[in-house]
Amino acid sequence: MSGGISRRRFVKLLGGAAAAIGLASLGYSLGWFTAGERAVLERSISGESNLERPLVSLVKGRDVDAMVRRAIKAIGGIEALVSPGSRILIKPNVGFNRPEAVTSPEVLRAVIEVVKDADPKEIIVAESAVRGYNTSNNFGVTGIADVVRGLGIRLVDLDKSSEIVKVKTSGKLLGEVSVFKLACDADVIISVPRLKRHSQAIVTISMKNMMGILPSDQKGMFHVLGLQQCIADLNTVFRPDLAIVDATEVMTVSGPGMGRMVPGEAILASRDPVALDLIAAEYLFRLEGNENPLETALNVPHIKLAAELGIGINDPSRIRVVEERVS
Amino acid sequence: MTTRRELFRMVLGLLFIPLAGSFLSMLPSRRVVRPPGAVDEKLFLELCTRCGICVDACSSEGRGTLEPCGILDGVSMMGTPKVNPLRAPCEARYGICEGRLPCVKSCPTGALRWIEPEEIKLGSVSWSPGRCIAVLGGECLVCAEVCPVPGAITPRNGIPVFHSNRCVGCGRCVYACPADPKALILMPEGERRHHWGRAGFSR
Repeated sequence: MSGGISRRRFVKLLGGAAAAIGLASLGYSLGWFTAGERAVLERSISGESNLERPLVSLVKGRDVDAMVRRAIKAIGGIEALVSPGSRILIKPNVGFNRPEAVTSPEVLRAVIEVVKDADPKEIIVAESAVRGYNTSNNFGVTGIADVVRGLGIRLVDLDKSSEIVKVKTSGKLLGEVSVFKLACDADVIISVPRLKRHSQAIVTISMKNMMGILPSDQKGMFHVLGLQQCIADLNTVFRPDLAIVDATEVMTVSGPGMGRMVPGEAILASRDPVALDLIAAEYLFRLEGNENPLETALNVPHIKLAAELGIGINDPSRIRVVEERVS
Repeated sequence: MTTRRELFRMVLGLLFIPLAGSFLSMLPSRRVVRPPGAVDEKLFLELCTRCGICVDACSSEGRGTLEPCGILDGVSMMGTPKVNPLRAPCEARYGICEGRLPCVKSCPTGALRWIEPEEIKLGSVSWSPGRCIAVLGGECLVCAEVCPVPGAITPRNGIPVFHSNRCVGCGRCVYACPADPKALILMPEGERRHHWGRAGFSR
């Protein structure tokens, strides 16, 4: 057998190769080669907004522009949060292609104009729609695209931006979460949801709205793992620094796609998303004719779980609600 | 010089070719979900030239739901278009293609014909409760959340109830279902197809 290889040698080689492949795959699954490939980012929450006694403003009226300005002013003004030169991500809720199910363009316009006044380096409005809906199309048919582009602001369909990164959370169920990189790059996140009912999350307000920075598969995973806890966990890293709730027309009874629309004629704002979601949920349940709106709001699981994780305050006695009316 | 054994093998091999052909064509073809405005299945298979233009027109709108049937769908079906909601939902109703129907407009042979939005019904979804996250105790009603048709999926005690008579077969719920394997399949049951030779639809 000169020149060739003996059967014994061949078997040995084969065995060696199999062992090497086995070891390599074991190593991969144990995370030995994780360094550059599966980089997990860490994100720190900006701003010292973890107030002991958070302020929530609730401004009623019809003049949306004045209401938004008043609501932000009442919680300390935009200057307290947006320093010149910072990068701002405004996250509206444009999950569907029906105007009643998304943040109204007028509210978004008013928010952008207020933020613009603070002279940030960059403002981006971004969203990734509910699975099965085309985000760009949603922007178009709901009138969001016209408003945002009309103001000269960059509007991003996150589903078309392919860069996805993993970020560690300090939550209970989600070890790490896949998000669009754009959301990581922002210094300040402003959540601008419409006040709505949600079939699974009970309500969809500023914290639930943050699911719009997740790629499709990660959104689905939330439901597999446990939606309520995952919403709270996501907000440990992507906690909105400021949230403004569009309660001009409120979707009650059912949602988030279709529900009974009730005039709410209000704008709510806060730097504490937990306190804000609690007060906004109470407002929604009151519109529904619920006899114990506050109690029902306190029992919304993700609001409760977020408070337990220290994201914000859900103790009504510590929340200062500033109610105003703009005529 | 061929030995007797080789000759025998060759004859067997030659015999196998028509055998294989007839065997493959005898394979049952699957019922697939056709694009909106498709004519009756029998006529559809005659008119469709498997050109793939509708599939291209569909994918130019985004991810695209249409794809050509493969050999597993049946030999006679190969190359004809089918709706695959795992790729993307069909946007013909309540979506970006409503009133435009690029697939129908691109069809050169009339296998796909114009259909008004409210007439579109590609089929309906079939639900496997054993795979459904909501049935298994999870927090999921994604199907009801994404369904664009009023009253087609209604939650009852946290579990979805499907009303196939209202379902238009867009496949949004199938696409969005986070269960693995999916708890929903899009079936041609209840589909509305153009009649052979006269106006109106068959059911």
